Amino acid sequence: MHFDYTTPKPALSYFAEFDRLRAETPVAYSDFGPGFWMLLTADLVRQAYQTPEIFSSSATIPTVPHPDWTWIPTMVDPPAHSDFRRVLNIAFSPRFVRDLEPTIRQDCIDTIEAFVADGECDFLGKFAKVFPTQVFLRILGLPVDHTDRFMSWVETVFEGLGHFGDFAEDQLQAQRDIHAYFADVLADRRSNPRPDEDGDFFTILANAKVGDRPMSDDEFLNMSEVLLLAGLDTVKSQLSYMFFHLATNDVDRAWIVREPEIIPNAVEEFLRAHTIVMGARQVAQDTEFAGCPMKKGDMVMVAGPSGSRDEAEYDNPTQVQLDRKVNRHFSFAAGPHRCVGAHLARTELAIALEEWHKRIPDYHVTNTEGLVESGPQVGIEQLHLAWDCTPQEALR
Amino acid sequence: MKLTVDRDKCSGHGRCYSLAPDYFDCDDEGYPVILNEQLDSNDGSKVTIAVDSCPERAVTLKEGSA
Repeated sequence: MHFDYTTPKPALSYFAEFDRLRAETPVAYSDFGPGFWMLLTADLVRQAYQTPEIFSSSATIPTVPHPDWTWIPTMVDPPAHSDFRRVLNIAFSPRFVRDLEPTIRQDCIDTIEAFVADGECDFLGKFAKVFPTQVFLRILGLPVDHTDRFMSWVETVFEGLGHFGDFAEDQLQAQRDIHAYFADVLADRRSNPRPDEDGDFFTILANAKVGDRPMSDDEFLNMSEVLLLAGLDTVKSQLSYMFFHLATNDVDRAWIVREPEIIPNAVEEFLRAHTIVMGARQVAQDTEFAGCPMKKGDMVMVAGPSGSRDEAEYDNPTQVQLDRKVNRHFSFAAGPHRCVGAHLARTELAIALEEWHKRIPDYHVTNTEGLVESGPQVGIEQLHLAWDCTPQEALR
Repeated sequence: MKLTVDRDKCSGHGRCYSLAPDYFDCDDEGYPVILNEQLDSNDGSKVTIAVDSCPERAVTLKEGSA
């Protein structure tokens, strides 16, 4: 089997491909790149995530068994993982996110108000990239006018991850640039600690302890890179599927407008139907798993986009049902590496739906080019939306 | 009926305290704290949805009393 996730295909194609594969087999082996196993059912995805002693995070991109980078805490296995993770758990806790909600909402409103009167927008360029980046920079206490620089680095990294050739080279360069940026941040916080020490994220991180020793400079940089990569492109990609679905589905769009109370539930359903990360683990010891002989060092795609749509766990799993009751999707992975930004992401996605539909209740897709996606983290590449914005004054 | 959370499996997704806030709160790191482990018979379906929505299958509702 040859699962080349780097080829751009029409939006939602990869989800359909996972559905077809899952109907045939719970585990596949793809010979794309160096080769990798694919776990396709919810049960196997959950087991792999929950068994880090066999399915290590030493490599997390399916086609990259020997990564040139060390993301922290992403690529650290338990028990060392929890020392790094605790710092982030507190910084991105549900309470912290709840306190920040009014600011996030205002960022969202300002972003929409900037283009609402135009009657159209490049959805990704004007909204889906801008809003999460601003929220993120604000939370981390970085200058909001660095938004373009950050977006460009993050896009270059995601265009290269799991690919080969020039894209992969550009990716490594962007990762070096990100480290250089955060080396300056670190130097600044060391020489010039912020007075509100408890409030400034990078002052806290620069002074954080790993167990009973101080965090090293390299660890600081590798953690900062993870936050940037994980916080920006993910929310953008999720928003692309949410708004593509709603722009092309009149019933669901009207439902969101008529009954905004359903939005938190709808967010979970969008996360389930369109789980965007084809994550991976690396086999840490020879093992037989689901009847397959896996060797130490083998790569294993833990296919969240498939597991979240498993017929064994859901009725009509390939359908978006905004009022679906039981939902235990893998959008935020599972096990010790569960997405630390999950609470923030949910809040951003819900606010985006709420504030957008208050201002733009009816809209449609206007582009035919660029409605494509590729992995290992899928997202629609171009999405242009238009709406009727005849001002109320003009009607009088 | 008694609610329990398997701490080895729980990774703090937060589904339980979002869906059944009368029964679960969260601590400073986002892990659940059981507020009320004894189920009120009127809350059956809400708590069952919270239990079934745990991505880790770490929350259980068992026969018996606290």
